Amino acid sequence: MSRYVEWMYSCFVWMIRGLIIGIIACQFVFFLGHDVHAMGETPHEKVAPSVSSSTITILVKGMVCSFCAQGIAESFKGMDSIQQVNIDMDDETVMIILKRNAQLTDDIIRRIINDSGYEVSSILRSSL
Amino acid sequence: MINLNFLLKLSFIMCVSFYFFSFSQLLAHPVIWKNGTVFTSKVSSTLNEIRSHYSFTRYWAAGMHAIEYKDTYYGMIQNNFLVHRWNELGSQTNVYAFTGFGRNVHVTSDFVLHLGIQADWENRERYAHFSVDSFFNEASFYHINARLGAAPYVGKYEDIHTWLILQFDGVIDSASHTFSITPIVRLFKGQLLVEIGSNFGGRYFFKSMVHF
Repeated sequence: MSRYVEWMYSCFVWMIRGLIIGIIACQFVFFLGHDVHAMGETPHEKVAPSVSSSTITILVKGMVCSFCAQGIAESFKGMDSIQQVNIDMDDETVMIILKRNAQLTDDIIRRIINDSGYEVSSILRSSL
Repeated sequence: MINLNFLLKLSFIMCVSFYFFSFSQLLAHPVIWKNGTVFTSKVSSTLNEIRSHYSFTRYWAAGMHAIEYKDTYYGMIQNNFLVHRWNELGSQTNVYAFTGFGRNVHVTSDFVLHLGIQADWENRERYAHFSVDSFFNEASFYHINARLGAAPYVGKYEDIHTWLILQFDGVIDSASHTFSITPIVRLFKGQLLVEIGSNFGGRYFFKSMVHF
C-alpha cells in the first residue's frame, strides 16, 4: 500500500513539474515576443486636431471587478487633462470629463485602458 | 559588500513590517495595472505568505515573496506573468505563471525554487479559481488551491463588495498531505480587500491585500 502511495506521489510530482515548466516556457516565449518593447513607455497627452469633445464615454471589455478597475481610475486621474473620472460597473463604462480646452486622443485612451489590463470596445465623445 | 543573506532578511523584515503597519492587507490578481504596486498577505492553518509586487507592464510583475511552511521560513525574489487574459463584455479570464527563487531564511544552503500556475474566471456574480504552487528544495512541497465564489449582490464601483467563496486547499509534501474545504467571506472596497474563512474544525484562513 505504501509503495503504491509513493508511486502515486512520484507521478503527481512529475506531472506537476512537467505541467508548470511547460506553461512557464510557453509564457516566456510569449512574454519576450510580446510586450518588452512597451516597458517604460508612458502615454503622452497629444493634441489631436479632430478632437474637441469634453466628455468621453469608454465601453471597456473585461471590467467586471471594481477592485481591479482601480487601475483605470488611477491612470486617468494622474493625467493633467482629466477633470473627473466616473466608473460605472453596471454599464462597464468609464466616463471621463476633460478640463476646459484639453484634448485626449483615442490612441492614448486605448493605451491607458490596455495598460490597466482591459480592452476598449468603443469610445463615444460628446460636449457638455 | 551587501550579500544575498542580508538582502533576503531585509526584504523579509520590510514585508513583515508593512504587513503589520498596513493592518494586514490581501490579494487578488498577481499582475495588476502597469506601474501598480500590490501588497498581499495570507495566514492559514497550513501556509503563511507575504508578497509585494510591482507591475512593470500589464503582463509582468516582480517583487518579494516570503513563505512559512512547517516552521521553516523562505524568502524569494518573485516574478509573476500574465500568460493570457480574455477580456469580454461581462467577464474576464486569466492565466498566470509564477517563478521565484530564494532560500531558507535561517539555513544558507537551503535554496528554494517556486514554480506556479493560476487560472481564474469571473463575472460580476460568479468566480472560479485554480492554482498550483510548487516549492522545490530538499523538502519540496506543493500547494493546490481551487475556489468557487458567488456574489450575494452586485454592487456599484464605490460600494463594499461581498463574495462568498468555497475554497479547496491541498498541501502535499513527501511526508504528509493536508486537504481542507473552507468557506470564506471576501470583502473589498476601493484599494483594500480582505478574506476571512474557517471550516470550524481547526482550519482557518485570513488574507488581505492593498494595491495602489
